[in-house]
Amino acid sequence: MLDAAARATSSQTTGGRPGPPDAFYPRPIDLSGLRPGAVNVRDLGEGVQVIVVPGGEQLHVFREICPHMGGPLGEATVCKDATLECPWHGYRFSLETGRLVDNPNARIMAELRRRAPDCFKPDKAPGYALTPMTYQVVGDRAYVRRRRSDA
Amino acid sequence: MKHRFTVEYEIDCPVAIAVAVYLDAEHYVFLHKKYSDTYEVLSYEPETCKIFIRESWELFGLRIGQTCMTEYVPPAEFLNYDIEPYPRWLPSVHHVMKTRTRVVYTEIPERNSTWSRLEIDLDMPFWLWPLRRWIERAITRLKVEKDEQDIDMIRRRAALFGRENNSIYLADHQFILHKDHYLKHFGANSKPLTQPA
Repeated sequence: MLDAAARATSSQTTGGRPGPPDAFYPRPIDLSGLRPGAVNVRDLGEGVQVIVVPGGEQLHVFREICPHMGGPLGEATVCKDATLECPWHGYRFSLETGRLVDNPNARIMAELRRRAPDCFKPDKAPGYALTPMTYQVVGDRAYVRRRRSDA
Repeated sequence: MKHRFTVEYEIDCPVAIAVAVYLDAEHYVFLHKKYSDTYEVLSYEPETCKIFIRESWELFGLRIGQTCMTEYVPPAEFLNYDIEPYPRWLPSVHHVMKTRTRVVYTEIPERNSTWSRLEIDLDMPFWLWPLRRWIERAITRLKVEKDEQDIDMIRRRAALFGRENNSIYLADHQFILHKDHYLKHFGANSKPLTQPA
């Protein structure tokens, strides 16, 4: 069973593949093969890869690409504070919302950033966020819904 | 006694990308965390593009590492020197051997690619001389391994965003070292590194 939070982005049914067929990526996620609390990379077909982080009884499903520089989130680290750390630059994203919650370099590079010339304007930073993917569970499989922008 | 050697190969990306990756200090302790997980700025001279840094890592509960002067010589040259162990009492080859490195990226115009040349100058006492090849191999292996990690990043970004796309490094909100110089040489209004014949 999925908990209430999971039901916010998914629904659980029994039977075969959910419809309409073109609303979902062709390859479902096999729930029994997921490592809990870890990053699982899954290929949905059509060149789309996602990461799946089972948390409690819900799944956090995001595109495998870091919104900052395109880093491989399949190699990301799940941190104790329910964030995901990108392996390239250490940016941390909330597993719950997908939003950037910390750029540790702001502290590591504080002295350099403070004395940077006019060409560095941190206040103009975009609101980086992981791309969330919604899904529908059928039996022991999760079917990931296509995003409108991917159609 | 002085031992000099070079490590050279092509990096399949434009010089603007290779330089940006070098100056993108935000990835140092994350992508390369296997080698050092802490980067600290001890002093900074923007006028001369010199940054005195400490890189360290934990070994058996003790934080050890090295301090080093880094210098950027625009558009595509990078120097490291004055390398000292940290903490100072740490037994280290750097107490007796002076190391100076110079990385130069040169454009390969016909392929819009980069020739990377690392020059290493080691000044060592006579009793270390028999070990010079071993030291050379260790330094070379470290350089190649770290570059391979960078090249993986470059390849992935090229596949996602385009081979020549350095827009993220130029963005106002993105911090890279010596960005004012980078913008001058590789920004929107920069001139080609290699002038047509």
